[in-house]
Amino acid sequence: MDTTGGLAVALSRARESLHDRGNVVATGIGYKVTGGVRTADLAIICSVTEKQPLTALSADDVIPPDVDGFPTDVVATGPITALAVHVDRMRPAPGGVSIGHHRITAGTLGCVVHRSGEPLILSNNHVLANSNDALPGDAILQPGPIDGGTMETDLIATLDRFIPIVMAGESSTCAFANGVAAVANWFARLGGSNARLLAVTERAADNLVDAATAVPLSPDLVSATVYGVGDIAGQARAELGMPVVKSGRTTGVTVGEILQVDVTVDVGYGAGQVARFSDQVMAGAMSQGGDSGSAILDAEHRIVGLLFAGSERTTVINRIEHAFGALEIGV
Amino acid sequence: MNLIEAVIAAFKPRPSTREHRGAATTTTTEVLSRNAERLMRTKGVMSVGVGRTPEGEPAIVIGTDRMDAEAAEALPGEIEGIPVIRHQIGHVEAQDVR
Repeated sequence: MDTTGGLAVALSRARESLHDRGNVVATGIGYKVTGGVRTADLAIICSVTEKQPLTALSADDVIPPDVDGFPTDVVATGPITALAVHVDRMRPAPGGVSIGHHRITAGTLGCVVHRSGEPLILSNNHVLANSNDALPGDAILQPGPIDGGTMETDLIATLDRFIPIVMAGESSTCAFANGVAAVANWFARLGGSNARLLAVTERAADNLVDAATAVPLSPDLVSATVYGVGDIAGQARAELGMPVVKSGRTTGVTVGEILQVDVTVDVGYGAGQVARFSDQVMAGAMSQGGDSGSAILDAEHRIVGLLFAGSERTTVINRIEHAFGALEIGV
Repeated sequence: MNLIEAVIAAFKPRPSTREHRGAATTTTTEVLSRNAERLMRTKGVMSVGVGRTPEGEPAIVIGTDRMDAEAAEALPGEIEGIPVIRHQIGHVEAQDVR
C-alpha cells in the first residue's frame, strides 16, 4: 500500500485543525521516535515550540494520539525559522540551499563531491546548466536568481560538466554517430556524391541522469555538510522500502520511502519538452519546485540518489551511481 | 489438511521471506523490462516501475495522468502473472522553481 500517500491525505485533512492548537508550528510526515529511538512506523509529526505536560494544556490544544488511524508524534523544534535559511546566501554554502545558473530561477545545491581530490558542487543539469543551454565556465549563483542572487555579489562557482538531457523527438546526439556521419560526408563530397549520410538512431536512448557539476571559485566557499541533516557518510544503493531523507531549497528537510525501483518515467521540462528517464527510483511526495538537485540520503546518511523531478504525489530520483559514473566523481 | 500433513508442512524447509522477496523482485524486473516500452506507449501512462502490493508482494506499478475511467479499465490487472497497481500521479515535472 502507498502508506505515505494515505498519510498525506490524512494530514491534508487534519492540517488546519492541528495548526489551530496552541504551539504547533509545523506538521509533516516522518518516522515516529519512541524513547529517543526512531521506529519503522511512519507518523504525522507535529512540531511544537516547546513540549508541555498534558495537565498544562487546555483540552483544545492537546494533539490527538492518532489521526484517521495514523499515529502522531510531537517534536519540540522551537519557533520555525529554518526554512527561510534555505533561500539565504550562505558562506560556506552547504548542501540543501538555493543555487542556480545565472539564467534560471533556482534549484538546490545537492552536496560537495570530488574529482581527483578537487571539490565540486553537485546538482541537476536543469539547475546548473539551464537544461543543456549553457557552456562550461558559465556563472553559478548562490542563492539562485529568484532568491535574490546576483552576478555582482553572489557568484559562487562556474559550470564544470553536465550530462546532456535528450528530449523526446530529438535526433541523435550521439557524438560518435555524428562524427562517423561527418567523416563519411567528407569522403562523399570528395567523390562528388550528393548523397548525405545522416546520423540517425531509431529512438534516442533513455536518459539516466539530470546531473551537472560546478567548480567553486574557492574550496572554502562550500561546506561538506547537508543543511539540517549532517555530513554525508559514503555512498549506498537505493533499495525498495528504504527510508530516505533530503534537504532542499523549498521544502527543507523531509523524509520519505523508496516505493518503486526500475522506474521508467516521462518528465516535463517546460515549453512542451518531455524527456524519458529509465532506471530511476521513486519516493512518495517529499519535494516541490525548487528542491531539484537535492541529495537523497539513507538513514545512515549515505548518498543514494539525486532528486530532479516530481508530481503532487511522487518524487523522482536518479540513482547516484549513474550520476557519479557519468560525471566521473565520488563522495 | 489433516494433522500429519500439517506437522510435515510445519517442518518443511522454506526459503526465508527475504530471499523469496528478493527473487520475486528480480522476476518482476524482468517482466517489466519486457513490457515497459509497450506500457509507456499507452495514452495517459506517465511511469512504470517495480513496487509492492498492500500485502508486500512485488508488483508492477503504473503511474497515470488523470485518466478517464475507460482508459484506466483498459490497463491490465496483471502481466505474466505479476499483479499490476495503478497509481494516479499526475504530470511529472522537473523541479526547479516554476
